[in-house]
Amino acid sequence: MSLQGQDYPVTIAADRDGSDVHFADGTTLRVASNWTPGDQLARLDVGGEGLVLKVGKVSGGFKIRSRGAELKVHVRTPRQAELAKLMPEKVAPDTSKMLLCPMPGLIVTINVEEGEEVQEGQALCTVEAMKMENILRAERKGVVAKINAAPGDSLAVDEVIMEFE
Amino acid sequence: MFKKILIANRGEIACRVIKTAKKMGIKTVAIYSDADKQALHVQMADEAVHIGPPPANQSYIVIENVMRAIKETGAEAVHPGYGFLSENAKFAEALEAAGVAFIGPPKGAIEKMGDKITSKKIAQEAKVSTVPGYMGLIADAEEAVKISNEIGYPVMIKASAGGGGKGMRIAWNDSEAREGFQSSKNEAANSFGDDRIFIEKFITQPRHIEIQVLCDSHGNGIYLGERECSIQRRQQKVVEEAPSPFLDEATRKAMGEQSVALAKAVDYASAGTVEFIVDGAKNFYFLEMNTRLQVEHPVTELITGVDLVEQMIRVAYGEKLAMAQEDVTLTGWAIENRLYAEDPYRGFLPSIGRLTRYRPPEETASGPLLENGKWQGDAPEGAFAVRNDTGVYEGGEISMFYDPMIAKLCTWAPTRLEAIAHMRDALDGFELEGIGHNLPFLSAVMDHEVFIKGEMTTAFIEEQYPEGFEGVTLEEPALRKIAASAAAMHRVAEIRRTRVSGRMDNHERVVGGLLEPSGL
Repeated sequence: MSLQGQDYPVTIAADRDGSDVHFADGTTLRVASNWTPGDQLARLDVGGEGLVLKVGKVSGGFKIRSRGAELKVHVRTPRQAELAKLMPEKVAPDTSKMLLCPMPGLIVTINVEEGEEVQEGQALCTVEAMKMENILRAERKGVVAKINAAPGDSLAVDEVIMEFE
Repeated sequence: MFKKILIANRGEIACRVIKTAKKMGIKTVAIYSDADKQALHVQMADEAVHIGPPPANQSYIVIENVMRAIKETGAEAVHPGYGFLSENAKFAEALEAAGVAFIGPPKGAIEKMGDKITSKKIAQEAKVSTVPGYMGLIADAEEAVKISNEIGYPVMIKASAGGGGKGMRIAWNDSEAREGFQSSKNEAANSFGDDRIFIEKFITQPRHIEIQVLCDSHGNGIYLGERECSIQRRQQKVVEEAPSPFLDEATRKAMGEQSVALAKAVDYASAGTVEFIVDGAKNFYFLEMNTRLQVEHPVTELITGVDLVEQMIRVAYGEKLAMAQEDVTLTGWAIENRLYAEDPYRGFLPSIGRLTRYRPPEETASGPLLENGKWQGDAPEGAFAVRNDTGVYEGGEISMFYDPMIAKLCTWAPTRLEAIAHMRDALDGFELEGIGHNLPFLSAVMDHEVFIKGEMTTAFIEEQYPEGFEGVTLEEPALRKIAASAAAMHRVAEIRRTRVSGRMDNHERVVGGLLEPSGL
């Protein structure tokens, strides 16, 4: 089991009423529940205490949410775990030179022009959504390369409003 | 009593008013825009009238359209809910002219208290201590900067007609004051059709505590304790509770009596809320009076056993208050969490879309509200209470036109810690999919040490989550439990997978040496 960057080698033994999960350090947790595959809410009894998890399916494991935490739990055989360690980490695309629309909304004003140098914290444009005006500011100093939107445009989330050099 | 009332609102508050009206045997009329044709409040009401296109300024806040709906249906009274026309004196005036009762305060009180500049003057005259600020109207951004400097930063820039966090900005320097002034002005013009702005000193380390008052039209007034609403984000309340963990009996009494005196000074008659800022030494300053039902009124109902909507309707009908100040008792503790369609992982930006899954935890009735027979709805009785006020349903849509609030989840229990514990369980059991929402954030707040100790200020979210909310990091025992649970669930899922039909004979996969699947 691999979650939140931690690996837990486990073995499991099941009987009619539940499963005993043995950890590598010798401890055992008893798990009982009437969860069936496809249920999005799992009410479990773990080691004698109640636990409610929101369960989603992702390839190779579960997406589990509990008490404000969101975890990807990978379930792997020992050989898979060994190989998984060798897999490269996926790097998110670099969007640091773009201003993305943070929510679906309407562009009210664009405060800069192409070619203009902007300072950190300077207002770039104003987006209105749900009756709130949100001022988008420059995160760092830069030069505006291209503006892809005009006041009055209705944008979807993550649409590129402007690009920087 | 009235035979039929119209609810000039939408969403959860319209549903909330309909529930009480039904209990009192009053027929209800809903109004709806194009976007709300399928909304829950339309389904719950006895009648519904279409009043225009989706944007609120072409439907819910157009007085002529609402008046037409009243005429068509013959409603005798109107409950305005909160927001929209609830604090609009012109609307109260139009109703008066048409001979329809307004389930709210007299229009004089709305005018005096609804305008933040006038209300502050009245409060000062009534010797209620107020926050230093500039009371006049401000012409342009440069004047706003000059005034801000005179008061001293940080300052709060507010729309005179504003509320609910709209048209409100905090500025720490000249350029923020300039921008904030313009944004507030624009928002105020769009949301309230009134772009007057004022500026006041922003008190740091404050707590937001408000007093619920209830007055009739015969000169009687009482206060129903306080609500602590310190956990706010950008002036928008997120978690409320009653009573406040901070107030003592003497402060509560002083705040309550001042609030009632203020209400009487404007001949108030209905439910209303007097908001205060309370500093660390329990000094309190009058902020404003909301001449309407508040979003967070359920926590007061849960500890006092009073149905505030029922009281508003009775007062509007001209009845005398059936209770006196000494009849008001505060029993147990109630907590409210507001579920917003706001994605906590994206800086709480609004999220819209279809609720592909919406399954709230089961409601249970308990506490004074149940004992007084005022529980709204038909939840089974329990040792503690879970109440969920909502205006949505599974498959419904959260649109970009209105407030992003999905539901108000409340718990009541004899003690504060129990109420928090039940809230944690209720949040855990709340299934919500299809949109970004703040459930994980609420869970994190309920587990936060500062909140559990009751030591929060209105700066709680800014201070505790300065970089935004990125989810909770779980500790070792919790991680282990989840690992064990996932292992067990994986085993069951694997067994299920081996039973897919159409496999080659004699090549079945065997999981864990058991051919027959067993329970988890």
